[in-house]
Amino acid sequence: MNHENCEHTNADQHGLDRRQFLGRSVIGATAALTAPAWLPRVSFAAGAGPSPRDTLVVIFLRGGADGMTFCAPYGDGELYNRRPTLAIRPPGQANGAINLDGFFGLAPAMAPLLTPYQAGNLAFVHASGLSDPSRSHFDMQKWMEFGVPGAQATTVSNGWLGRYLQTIAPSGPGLLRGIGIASILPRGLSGGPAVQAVPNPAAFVISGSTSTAAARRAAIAAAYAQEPDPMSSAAANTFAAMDLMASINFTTYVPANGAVYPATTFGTALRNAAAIIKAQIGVEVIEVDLGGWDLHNQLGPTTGAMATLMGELAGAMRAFHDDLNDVNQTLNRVTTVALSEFGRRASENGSFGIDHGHGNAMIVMGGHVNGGQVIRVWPGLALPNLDNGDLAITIDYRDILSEILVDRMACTSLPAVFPGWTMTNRGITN
Amino acid sequence: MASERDLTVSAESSATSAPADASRRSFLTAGASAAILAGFATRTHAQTQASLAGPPPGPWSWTSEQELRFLVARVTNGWNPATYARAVQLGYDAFLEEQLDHTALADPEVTAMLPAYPSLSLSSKQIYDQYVVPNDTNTAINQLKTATIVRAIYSKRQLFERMVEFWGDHFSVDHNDGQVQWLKTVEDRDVIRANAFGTFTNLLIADAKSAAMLYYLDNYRNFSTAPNENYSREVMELHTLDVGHYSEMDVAELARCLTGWQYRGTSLANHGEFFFNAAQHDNGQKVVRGVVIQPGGLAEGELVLTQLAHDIATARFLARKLCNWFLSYNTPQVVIDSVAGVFRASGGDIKSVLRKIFARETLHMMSPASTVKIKRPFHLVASTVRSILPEVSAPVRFITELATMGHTTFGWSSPNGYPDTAQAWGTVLLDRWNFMSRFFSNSIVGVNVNAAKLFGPVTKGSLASHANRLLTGGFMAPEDVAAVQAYADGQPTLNDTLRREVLALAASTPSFQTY
Repeated sequence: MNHENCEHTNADQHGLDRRQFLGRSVIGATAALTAPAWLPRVSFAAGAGPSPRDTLVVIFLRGGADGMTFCAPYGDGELYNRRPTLAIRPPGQANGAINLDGFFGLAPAMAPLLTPYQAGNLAFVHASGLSDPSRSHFDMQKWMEFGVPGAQATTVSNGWLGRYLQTIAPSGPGLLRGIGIASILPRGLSGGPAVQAVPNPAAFVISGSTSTAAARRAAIAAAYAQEPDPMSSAAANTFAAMDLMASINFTTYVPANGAVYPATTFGTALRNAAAIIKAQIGVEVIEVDLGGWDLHNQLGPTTGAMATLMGELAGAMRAFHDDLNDVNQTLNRVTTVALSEFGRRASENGSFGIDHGHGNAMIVMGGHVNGGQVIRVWPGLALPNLDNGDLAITIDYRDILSEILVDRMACTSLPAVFPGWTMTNRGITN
Repeated sequence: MASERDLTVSAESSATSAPADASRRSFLTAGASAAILAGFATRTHAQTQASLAGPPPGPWSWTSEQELRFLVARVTNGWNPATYARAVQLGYDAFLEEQLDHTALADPEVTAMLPAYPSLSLSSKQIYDQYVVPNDTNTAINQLKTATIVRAIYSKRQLFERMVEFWGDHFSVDHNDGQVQWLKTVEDRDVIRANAFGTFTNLLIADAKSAAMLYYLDNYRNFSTAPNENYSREVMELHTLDVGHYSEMDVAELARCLTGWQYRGTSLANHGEFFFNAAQHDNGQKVVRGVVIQPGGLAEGELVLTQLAHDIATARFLARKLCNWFLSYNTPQVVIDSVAGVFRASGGDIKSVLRKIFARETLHMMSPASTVKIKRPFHLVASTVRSILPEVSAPVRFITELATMGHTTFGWSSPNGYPDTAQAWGTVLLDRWNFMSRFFSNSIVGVNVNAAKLFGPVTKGSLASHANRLLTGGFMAPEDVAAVQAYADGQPTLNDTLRREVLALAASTPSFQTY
């Protein structure tokens, strides 16, 4: 694909060039891309875009993951007034927090993340989020993925990750620039060039007889080539993704440092993400989701639903950290951000759960993250300091994402990615 | 089935007599290319604003064949010869009325199949005792999912099934979530199906009192001393008004009105039945959306829900969703407004709303090309089976197939239901193609496609056009038929494998994947 094309608008991304490309190139490339070794045998030419730069991994915690549980502000005594039964107790007490900085502590189930934190590769950003009055999951997920508050809804119609990819030439061949390891393309990637949902990277192949697979694929390609978007570009991206995924042997992939991923959909997705990143096939952005955090009833901060989810999140992120911390220092060219649409209310409800809230904690991990700290401008949990009963937002999540995009992703078009936002440097990267 | 073959031939001849009208591709290119793109575009706020500002559309001209094709495509889970013949026989209006008068439609096939799913007719207590207590977590769940698929495929009451699917998403509960695993069966039967063609108010209140919804959105734990506002928010945001028409204070106040709405526990004979627990109801005065609600126990919640059901914002929200479901991703605002008007004037009478949606003058407000939608996987599976009606001895297998395509029946974990957008379903294609490959090669256990019988003496050079007749009655785009035929031409011998591959390829083309 022509790299110049990627500088253009969304409409151009889905234009004729890719379809012509599909007809000419991808089919022809099939035979060359069947290397059985786990690493692809094909060497890809570098793209025209600025390089080197990181692969950005976004983990969307859907449902409102409670940052005041997973990164508990035990140093704010008001926490225990707001949440007499559910707050993580201070360090030293039974099921108490694991101290981070004398004010914040990890929930016990988050223990696997202590090592990356202490190694300086992981930071939290607390009382962060998107300043929008909505407490709706669906609104807030949409606006966070679109990268604007609802008041600016009319200014964008696609995701911030998609817009980032639009504004920069590919770092690699540009065949497949963004993937969501999900059954449906995450909205954050929507509008991006060469983005594709890949539910299971280890089995992204056409079914049926292998001897006729290439010809059957050609027939499907011909039918979709003339279809309007989104289907024509989705077909083209599907074929590109099939070729690239086929070049990686996921089953023989061995994580570095003996890292063991949780045997869950999410754990497997991060393991596959690590294999994709190390294979250097030109994927620039990866999104993986972990849902189930909407715990209005029986939060279970130390034993129960949230503890189980935190264990899965922390276990998988820890394995990802150790796996990327390999001899090639892959960790130095990957930045991972975990975020959720909002935190939960400051006070617990009557069902041992917590309703929808506002400010929350983000988790940022990578070799060039200023780790070992909880970045915050703490607004406090005393009643007068709350925003409609919720933790206030003192750091906009776009500050954090902007800094990562500029420092680690060579982004020079922030106004296009986050229209209307002027970034304040929060010191998340180095 | 002999009559079906005859009808296939008649559909074929009508297709060949009017190739320009018959071709989906020319159907697409009949409109402006911008309209095509808009038809496929993700619904965004910006686009909604733009369409509000734009000039009123239409009128567009539709041939009577286009109208009838459209009606059959939208009120059923997919074309088949018998259904289309029935529509031709009755004509547009009478076919629609026959579908709307669903209880008068005999449904012997499905009636004969449903006894295979005995949990469908049980109470929640019986399901709990017979399946859950002995630690059988899957049987009742799979029976409901399978019966839902079976009805979508085989029921004569196709529009009713389409409406049930819509309401199942509108009032989505996650079948995996705790007690919903066994409470969903009764909710599907006594709430969704019982009210799918009734009035929206009755449906909304029945849903609010259903154990599945009370559990899923936590209202059963909503007490005067400890309010839980999960349901109160979602009932305004997702079930009635849409976001932007209520305040955070309204959420809290409605939650107070709904305190004490509970259902009987698992130890009781009437487990799952709704009851009002006055002891846990907040008896104070409330103000919801500016209206003072005097203390009235159960009646408070019923009053507010009734008000919500009759609100103009609800009419507009439901009209928009229903138009998106039945007509187009990009239904003109003027159409949505007219449907909303009927919704409100009829007191949320669902049949009246459907008559407005499918009125011919409604169709003429849209270009045919702008109406093209992508089948969701459930629809895709049902329409594939419906087209050639192979032997299916284990429809339970379709549960796994749907899961692979991201569309597990009742499996959406959030309360907003599975999306109904091109962006969601039109961008993940490989699993949809692979389903076709498995289906037509009999790789799905219990599916027996008899390719030799379907094709008879058809020669290699006519495989694709015959597949077109089998799957769509001859309405595939010529380009898609040509692409499939090019594959057949490149294969050395005509054999059973090739026939199956041709069917799978034809069903993988945009012509079959969209409707």
